[in-house]
Amino acid sequence: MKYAWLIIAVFASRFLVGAIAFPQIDGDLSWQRWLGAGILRTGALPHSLGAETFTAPGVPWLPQEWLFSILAALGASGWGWILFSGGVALCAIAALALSALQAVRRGASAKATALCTAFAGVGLFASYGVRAQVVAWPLLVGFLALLEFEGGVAWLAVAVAAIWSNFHASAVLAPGLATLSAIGAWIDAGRPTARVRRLFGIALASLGAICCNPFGWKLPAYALALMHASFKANIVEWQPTTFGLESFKYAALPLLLIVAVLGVARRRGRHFAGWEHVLVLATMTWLLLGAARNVAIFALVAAPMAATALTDSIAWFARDAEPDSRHRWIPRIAIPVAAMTMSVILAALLLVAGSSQKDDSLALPALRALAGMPGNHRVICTDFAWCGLLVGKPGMQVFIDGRADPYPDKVWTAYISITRLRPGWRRVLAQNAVDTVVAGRDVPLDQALTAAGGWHVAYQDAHYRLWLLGSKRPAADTLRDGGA
Amino acid sequence: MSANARASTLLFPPLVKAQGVAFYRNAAVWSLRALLAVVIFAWFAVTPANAPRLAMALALGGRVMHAHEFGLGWLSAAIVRTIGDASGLGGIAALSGASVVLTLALVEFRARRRAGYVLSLFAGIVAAFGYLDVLHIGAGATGWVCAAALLLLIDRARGASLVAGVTMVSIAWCNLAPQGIFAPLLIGLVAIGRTVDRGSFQPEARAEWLALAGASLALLCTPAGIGFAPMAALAAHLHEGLDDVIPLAPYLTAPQAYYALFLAVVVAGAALGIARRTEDRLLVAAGLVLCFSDGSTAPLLGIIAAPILVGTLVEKAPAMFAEPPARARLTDGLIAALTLAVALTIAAAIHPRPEQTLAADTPYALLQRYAVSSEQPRRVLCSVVAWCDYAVALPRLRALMDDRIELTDGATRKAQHDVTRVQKGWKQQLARHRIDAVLTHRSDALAALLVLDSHWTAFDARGGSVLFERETR
Repeated sequence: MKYAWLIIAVFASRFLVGAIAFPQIDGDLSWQRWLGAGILRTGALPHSLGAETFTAPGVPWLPQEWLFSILAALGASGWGWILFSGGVALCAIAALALSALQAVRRGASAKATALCTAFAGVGLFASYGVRAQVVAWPLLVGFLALLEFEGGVAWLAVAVAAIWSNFHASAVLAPGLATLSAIGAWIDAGRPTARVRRLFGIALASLGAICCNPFGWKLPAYALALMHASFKANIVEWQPTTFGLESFKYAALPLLLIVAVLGVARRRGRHFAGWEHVLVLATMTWLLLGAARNVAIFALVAAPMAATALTDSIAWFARDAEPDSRHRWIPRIAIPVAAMTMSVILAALLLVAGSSQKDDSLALPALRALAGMPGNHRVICTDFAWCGLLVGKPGMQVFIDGRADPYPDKVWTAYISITRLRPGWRRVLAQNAVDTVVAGRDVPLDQALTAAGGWHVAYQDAHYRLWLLGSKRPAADTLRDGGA
Repeated sequence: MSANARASTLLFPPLVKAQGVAFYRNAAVWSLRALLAVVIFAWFAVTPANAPRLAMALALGGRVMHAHEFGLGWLSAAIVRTIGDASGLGGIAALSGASVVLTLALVEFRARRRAGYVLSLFAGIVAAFGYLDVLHIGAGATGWVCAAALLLLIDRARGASLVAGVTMVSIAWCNLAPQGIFAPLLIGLVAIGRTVDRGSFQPEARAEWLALAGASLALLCTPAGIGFAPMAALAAHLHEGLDDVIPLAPYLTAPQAYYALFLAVVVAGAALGIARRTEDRLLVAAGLVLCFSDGSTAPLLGIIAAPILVGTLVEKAPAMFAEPPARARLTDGLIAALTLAVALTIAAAIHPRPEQTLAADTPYALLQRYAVSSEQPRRVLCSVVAWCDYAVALPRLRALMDDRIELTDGATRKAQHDVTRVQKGWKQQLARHRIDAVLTHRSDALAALLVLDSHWTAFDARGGSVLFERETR
């Protein structure tokens, strides 16, 4: 673990700085703050979309990220923000550390653990941000780690599943993973041992635990329905993983190759041992191949397996001799403390000396211009996540926003028709009485509005254009061209 | 009890007890082989052809024979054209089926020494998963025969015969398909693996490294000469950024093999671990990487990995799979002949349906109508690159880009990308490359924007496709 701490420290700096100084990689945080503030104000969870959207008001909504949203609302600014975003970064760091500890616990050498931890760290980048799913990462790794414990400690996994279900719907994985572990352990042992029975018990209890949230059984039902939801086809991170994805190529793929070539299971007498891990790995590989957003969780789960395989199969990665008992405190305490301290100091220095996010990716200038305009607006954004920043803003109603899941298929179809200029897009735009378009500069809809007529530009810069219905040109001071 | 006897007992328990193992074992194995061969031939006969590829192969084959133009894959194009001229689409289907069956037979034969008589059949079946998405006439199955033959040679041959065999097979592969560029990679990985396992550079390693030199030399033995390697690297999709213009991701190009084979190899590898030979580990790793970077190489993953995984199964559990007894060769030979006869009869009986032919394809119909509408040579861009394969077979049409990626440069690929994704400056790209017509889906943003552009008019639209023509001034 001694080298792994250094690797984790490097990633920790990056995660802390990234979370605190670069808060948003998509627009979710805005509507989550709005949701959290609403829950704190009313003391109740919303169960349907409201007037913030004009395409699907009243449609049932299950705000699965309710607890994260409350924390986001509480930590919206100042020290609250530093604590909140830093806490999310700590979740990513904890997930990485737990994954490395799991490798060590399974007998991986320091070198193998460090290498695989580095791969896992890179694997987290693609999905990293101040996001609810990041909070779920350590809960997933912790859940799997607890399953490997002997005795009553393993039952803590049930509590982890319950907490997990209040942060993110991925908690639905818990009973499945516990069941697969139980089946694998049964195959390994060749009979239903006490551990096998305990794992089946945990699986059953986890099924109940993931209902321990304000939505009850509806959360797992919702998560299962999500697996086949058609709207996912329109979201990049739900697309199948491809070779072009950097985090796959430089993180998940090396781990995948290591476990596929060196093997996870080990021979024990006449039997293979480790079916428990093979079945979990197979599930995670299936998830990895199915959606790019699963690169991170695959990397966290596969890293300990890959580290163990390297240790067992390649001489260079074999375990070093244990240090003298008098010096064990060095790798166990001194190196981790020194590495993490350095990491926090480095992160603080970067935060003080570094700059905040300058490269806007959320159409903020266009949205600010829109906010300054009087009247009510029915808005469509060419990237639906941008409209997440308008949710709950007075006078604004959105076509679709980053909540994505609750919007019915017909709304998604209409949205895709408009933004991708499918046949009849102008009719669909008119039918929905859209009067405001926030468009990326030169995206298809932006080009089409330029050519089609009937719309005028209310704001533009090098990256975005704000279109308003009607041919009336705005006053010269309103039409600003930020493009140099 | 041996593995074969065990398998035979499972297949025909009462008969085995009464008549002895050998005959019924052979009968069972050959029945399964026959079934596999028949399924493959029938599949080729009834599934629609990869029409654009087939049209291009036939056109290029004609150019090889009549104009003596030798591009990449000239040999397979010439073979397809010759057989097509002689016996029509049914003959090409039979050729494709025979290529796959021969490849699987070579895979099985390679697995024989590792896994024994019965389990080696299982290797052939696993390798067949790699073909799930490419069992179409015109999909180019001939080149993979060389891959299977090369790996078999690497496994079995030693010394001078290894060097000569690898060189000759590599030459054949390079002339059949651009994927021949993988030959030095495969033998190189084996040479590295064997050197690592031996721990030092010993005299017997010389043959492997000489074979690598032979396979590398083979890259020069095509009509393209020294230009083969860079062109083949492009044509075999070993170039970053190609997925901007053509689909490469396995979930798009090989969706069935992606889960059936890729996941199976990963899970089986994780459960078993690849046998201790470094060469096997390197080969499987390379197969996985190639398959993931370009789904059309799924057959190669099956060819590489199936014998290794099945062999590993035997190595990991030797007590379960003992060495097989000698087989009854006469029986095998008779049943082999019968199998082939049945398979070919079925292939000949089930001719591809007429609607699978080119004219039924709307992009072809649109391009054909456009081609005959003027005597002037014109340049066309297709939003789906493969559609422009038809342009090779049509008079006076020249495509900005077709599946012969090796004929394009970075600027051309960027133009293709910018126009099909309607990126900033796409209209300038159309003008710069003097594109006269654009073939696209009706539902594409490109179609909507061309409708709004007064310089372009819809020439014709059929099905889901529309062809736009630039207004002549």
